[in-house]
Amino acid sequence: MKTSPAKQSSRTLLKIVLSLFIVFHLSAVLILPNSSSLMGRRLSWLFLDYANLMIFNRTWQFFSPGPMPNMYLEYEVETEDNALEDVRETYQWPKSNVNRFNNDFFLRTVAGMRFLGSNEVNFHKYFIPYLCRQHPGAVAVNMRSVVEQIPSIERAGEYEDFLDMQQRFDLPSQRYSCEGPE
Amino acid sequence: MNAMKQMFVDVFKAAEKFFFAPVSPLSIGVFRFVFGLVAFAMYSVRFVNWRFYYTDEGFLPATASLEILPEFFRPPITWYPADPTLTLLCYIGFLIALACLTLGIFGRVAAIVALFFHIMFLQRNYAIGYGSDFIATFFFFSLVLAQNDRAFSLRAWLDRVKPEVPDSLNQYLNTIGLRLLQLHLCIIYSYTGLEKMKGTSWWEGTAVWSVIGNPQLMIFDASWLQMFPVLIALMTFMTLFFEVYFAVLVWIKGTRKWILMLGVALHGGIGVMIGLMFFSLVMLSAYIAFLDVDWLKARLQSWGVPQKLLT
Repeated sequence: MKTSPAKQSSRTLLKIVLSLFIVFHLSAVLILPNSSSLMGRRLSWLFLDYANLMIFNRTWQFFSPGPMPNMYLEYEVETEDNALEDVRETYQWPKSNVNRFNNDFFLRTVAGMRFLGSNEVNFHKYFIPYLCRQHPGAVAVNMRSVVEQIPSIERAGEYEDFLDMQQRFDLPSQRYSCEGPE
Repeated sequence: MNAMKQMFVDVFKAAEKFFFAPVSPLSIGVFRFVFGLVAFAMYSVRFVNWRFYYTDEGFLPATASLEILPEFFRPPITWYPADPTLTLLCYIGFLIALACLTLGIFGRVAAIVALFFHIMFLQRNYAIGYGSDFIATFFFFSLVLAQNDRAFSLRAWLDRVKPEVPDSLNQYLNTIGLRLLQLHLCIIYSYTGLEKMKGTSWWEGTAVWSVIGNPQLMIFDASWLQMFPVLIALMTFMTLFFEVYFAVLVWIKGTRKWILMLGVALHGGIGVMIGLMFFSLVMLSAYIAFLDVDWLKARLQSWGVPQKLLT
């Protein structure tokens, strides 16, 4: 069946419009994951609203540049009653992964901790008040990050138990007021 | 000069064929079903903790949702509700949209609604999002573009799909939807492979050990693998090879099957050993877009899938 010239030209026009969209979309998803590059610095502005709206603005860094070590937070809660006590109960966030076969919740809490932890202001403003709400009467928390490194593969054979291999490093402790940053 | 001109013409024609030539609705239909099912399961599991994730009682107050994002990443508009009842209703609406999408009812409309809610919940709490969520955004987008319910759907089962060829716009969008699905997968693998090459542990072949030896990540103790360091190095380099070269080898007919099988092994391992089940299933669902349609049809027929779902 022969296509009429009018139909043919409308198809061509349609293809041009769709091609422009494809070029625009693919440029966005190719350039924005590397937005700190020269191309990114020069061209990001073109795609930013579109990509941020549709959440196409992600970097793709699964286990890169290297797998992260085990990391969690440890804290003690300060209340008006125990302010002068030396020894307080220690809590952990996120709690150890109890449900091994459905660790979606655990992974999301780890992601949330790392995301908020990457910005000190957000961490104090939003994460600390959440923790304080879990402990009624809390006025402050003393918190430190704990990193657990595993030994190199050459040294791993020296350990009998999987869990004994972890080498714990405590980062400096900090006191956070439950009322948020000043 | 003429050779150069000819080359441009050839590239242009190949691109035109790639993005606009008609494709079978079966690939996108089966992808819709599998991905929809995974997304439905993923959001159903998350529903147990919806208050923690998406209300002021939980992790992040609604007023902070935008503020926690660096300015560079902030969306120009947001549409998440602050009210918990409305949030719950939206969540239920989202699950219904995902169920419709999976079954193949209201095809593109279900995909638009699902994408709308998916972005809404990511906007509400970006902090708790991880790989599977961000990749799913791209996959929903492909389903929005294509007429995703023309095959392997309840609509096809009920003979509601009109047999005639789609109009030009829909025909082009069907192809673009499928092609973007394929290209997004290639882009994701390429970027993550190249990012890994910045890391020393990937270069020296020990990165997989850093995962296997991490009890926070592992579902079960596989530290006995330290007795086989060459195997650890091989697994590390195979991962790198796979991610860096996927975007090339998947387009070559002779290597496609092997690279997809390597991907199944990689994601199977990630799913079973690290418990990143949803991430693995989301990624694997997109492999359907690369399967030969005749092969896919024959496979489904051999499993007893009725003919009217496959046409």
